[in-house]
Amino acid sequence: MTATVPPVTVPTNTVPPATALPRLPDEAACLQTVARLKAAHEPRVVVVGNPNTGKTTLINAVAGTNLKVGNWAGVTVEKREARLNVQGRPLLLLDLPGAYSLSPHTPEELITRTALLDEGPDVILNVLDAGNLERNLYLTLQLIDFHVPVAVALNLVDEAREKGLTVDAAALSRVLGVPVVETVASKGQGTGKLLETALKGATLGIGVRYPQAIEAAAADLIARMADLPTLPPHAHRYLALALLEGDPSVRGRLSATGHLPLIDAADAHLAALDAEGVDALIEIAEARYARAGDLARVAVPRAEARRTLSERLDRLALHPILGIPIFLALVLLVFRLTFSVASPFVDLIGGPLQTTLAGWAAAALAWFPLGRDLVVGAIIPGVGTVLSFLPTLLVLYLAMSFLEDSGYMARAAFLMDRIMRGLGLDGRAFIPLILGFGCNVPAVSATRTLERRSDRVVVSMILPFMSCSARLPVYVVFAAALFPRSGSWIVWSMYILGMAVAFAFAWALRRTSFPAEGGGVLLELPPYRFPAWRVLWKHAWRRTASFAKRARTTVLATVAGVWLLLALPAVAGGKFATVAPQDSVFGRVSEAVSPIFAPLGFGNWQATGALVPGFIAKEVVVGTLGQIYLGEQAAAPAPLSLWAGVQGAVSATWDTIKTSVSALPTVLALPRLGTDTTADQKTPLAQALAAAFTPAAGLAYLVFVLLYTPCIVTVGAIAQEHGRRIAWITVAYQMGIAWGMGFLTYQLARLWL
Amino acid sequence: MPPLTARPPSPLAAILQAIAGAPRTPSELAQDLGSTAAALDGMLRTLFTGGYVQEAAPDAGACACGPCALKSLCRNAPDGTPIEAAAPALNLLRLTARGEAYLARNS
Repeated sequence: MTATVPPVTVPTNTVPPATALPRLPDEAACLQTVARLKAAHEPRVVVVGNPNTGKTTLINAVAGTNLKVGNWAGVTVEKREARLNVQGRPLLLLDLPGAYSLSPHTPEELITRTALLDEGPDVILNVLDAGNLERNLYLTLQLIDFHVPVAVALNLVDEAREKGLTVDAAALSRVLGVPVVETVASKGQGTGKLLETALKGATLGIGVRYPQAIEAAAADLIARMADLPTLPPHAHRYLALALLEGDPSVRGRLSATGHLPLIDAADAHLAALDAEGVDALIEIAEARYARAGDLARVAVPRAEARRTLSERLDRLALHPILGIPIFLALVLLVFRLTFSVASPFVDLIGGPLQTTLAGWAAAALAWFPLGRDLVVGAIIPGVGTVLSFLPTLLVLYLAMSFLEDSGYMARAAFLMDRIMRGLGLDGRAFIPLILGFGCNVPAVSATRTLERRSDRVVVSMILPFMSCSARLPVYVVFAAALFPRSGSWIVWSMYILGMAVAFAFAWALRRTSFPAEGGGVLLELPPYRFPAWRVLWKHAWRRTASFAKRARTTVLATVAGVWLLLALPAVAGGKFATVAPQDSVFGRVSEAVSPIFAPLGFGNWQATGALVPGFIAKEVVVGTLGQIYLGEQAAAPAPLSLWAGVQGAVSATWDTIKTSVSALPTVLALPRLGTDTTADQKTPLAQALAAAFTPAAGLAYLVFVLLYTPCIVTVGAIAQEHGRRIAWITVAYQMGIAWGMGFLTYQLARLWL
Repeated sequence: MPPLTARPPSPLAAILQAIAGAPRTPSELAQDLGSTAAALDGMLRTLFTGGYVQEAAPDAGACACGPCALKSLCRNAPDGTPIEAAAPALNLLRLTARGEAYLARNS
């Protein structure tokens, strides 16, 4: 160890002596290269700063149109360089990619660090964002670790003032020890004398004083570099600190260029520091952050933050009194939009198009009566009825995606956080609950993001009360049949009722079986933004396609199963496929169960029978209703020619488009909230249901469908997450709640409807 | 050298301690520590690059957030803050073995 290097506070036998470093074999070539570069020297100013601080704009402002862009081979990022004359002297300005620090972990930061090492700059012009000073100063302090004069352009001061920040440039200059020039590059303010100030006034600055042990180790490494002309002298301190930080790119570079002894020495220092309980990386970074914080506090003594647009919007969206009504109104608006725009298309698919398809199928399968019965009497009314709700779901998903992607749903979660905490739940539990509006299965999986087990179990148990999209077709068809003037209100009420029941049972479960654990957690509130239509469409289409896939798999299989049970006779003398539905196996079993539902107003075999396959998938309820009520009449449709069918379909589609477009303005029609466009155009299924149910019984049926046992896939998901016991408890208690609520609904509704 | 606990808590150590209990996002940490996500971002990147913290969110296969419309609500997904645009976004963070070792040594 040389006499000029401060002693390291570690046992000297752990660090190899500096004099042991060998000379490099290519040293002569390196010296020649350095000499050649010095001979051709022109002053170089490198422009360095965090991303988005206006570096390029600044260079354009000072260099005018002389700017040219050049690529460096082997990298995907670029540096820009500008040659210009300043007071008769040639000058090269290098605009380096934005970097948050010189401990590179992006290609841009690596390019910037490499340029600082290799370009041998005469001056570093550091561009700072005046509105984000503390963060920007971390890089400044790293730059000062290079032995290169630094000047600072304090840019974006106008934006900082708009944020309520006033930066004292003189104070910053004083504490940094380098000249600081205020600029607004986009307006050319302060750029006139910037280069002159940088060239004449730039100084080495006041760097960070690291802890004694770090400084001692760095000094030893710097001393070892003194005899290595292959390392740029201006970067010795930076390289020593980077080695102590364990910077892998610096280590790799030094290793590749034959400086292994230096790396060994650094490793020995690190081992010694570690033995003393000193984490070099943390200590170095801490010292820089502490210094950056001190500098920022001197330069920006008072910060008066102003409200952003998101904060102003949040004053309304998160208002303690108005927040919840705004949320409910937005949800209602979503359903009104869904009804107004999509319902005509539902009627089109469930009516004329389905009839056309049945006519074609009847004509095509006239030679095969059993197959015709299956297709025309089961698959088309069953699967077709489910598929007819695709437009409804598409519009609903588009609207929900808009609320989600705009950032509003995060506010809704925040609003619900108060309610959730009142129930003893994590506020973030609202996220799987919202997912439950789409499908309960991924929502159960989403409970994994909750930290506490009791939260995960409770939320999974109440999740099935959230009305998934598979239940929407049932609401829509019943609303169209029995409440044609207030359909959107009925559907909205179902969703609100589901949430209310879920919250009520969360409260009950918390106070009985699953007491709360620990405190709550914090919610993210992303800034508002206008979602990209392409992204909205992608979300909505993916969800709708998933629903359609279920229609051609689960629903199709269930419908075929129900058809088989409807075709099997349960009475003596009955024949397969010709037996009356009420005398089939399906009819007789449903008849046996139906008295249970008599107190709820729908104790007939058709309504009861449709509920049973709903256990497989909720959308099958509407498919089975279609099969039961429409099967017989659909089984004998008039055969239709291809041309007649196309004519009818085109005409009906055009009428539907006109109806849908004309309904758009009514979405916001407050005086008549039930603006459903199909009040006088019921589908065949809606007409059949209107004849079979009273309004009170229909309402009770909807409440029962909303609340009764979740579909088999959801039960499986709950069992997978929390065990079979929790899954079967959920099935049982939801069945009981559904019956009780259906009973209450029917008895109360009879008084008014 | 005196142990770290003899000194006032440092910002990086405070961040590591905050993450030690449970994974945290930059925004959550900012609220926990009375700061802003922008101010903490550099420190988190230092800790991330140094191998003290790592991403806790899955980002592969079926577990990736991908096109989920609910990602704006989700702590596992990027929050889209523009400041992160120039560098890989840091989302839900947890300690690495190195971070845990650092805390254990200095607690």
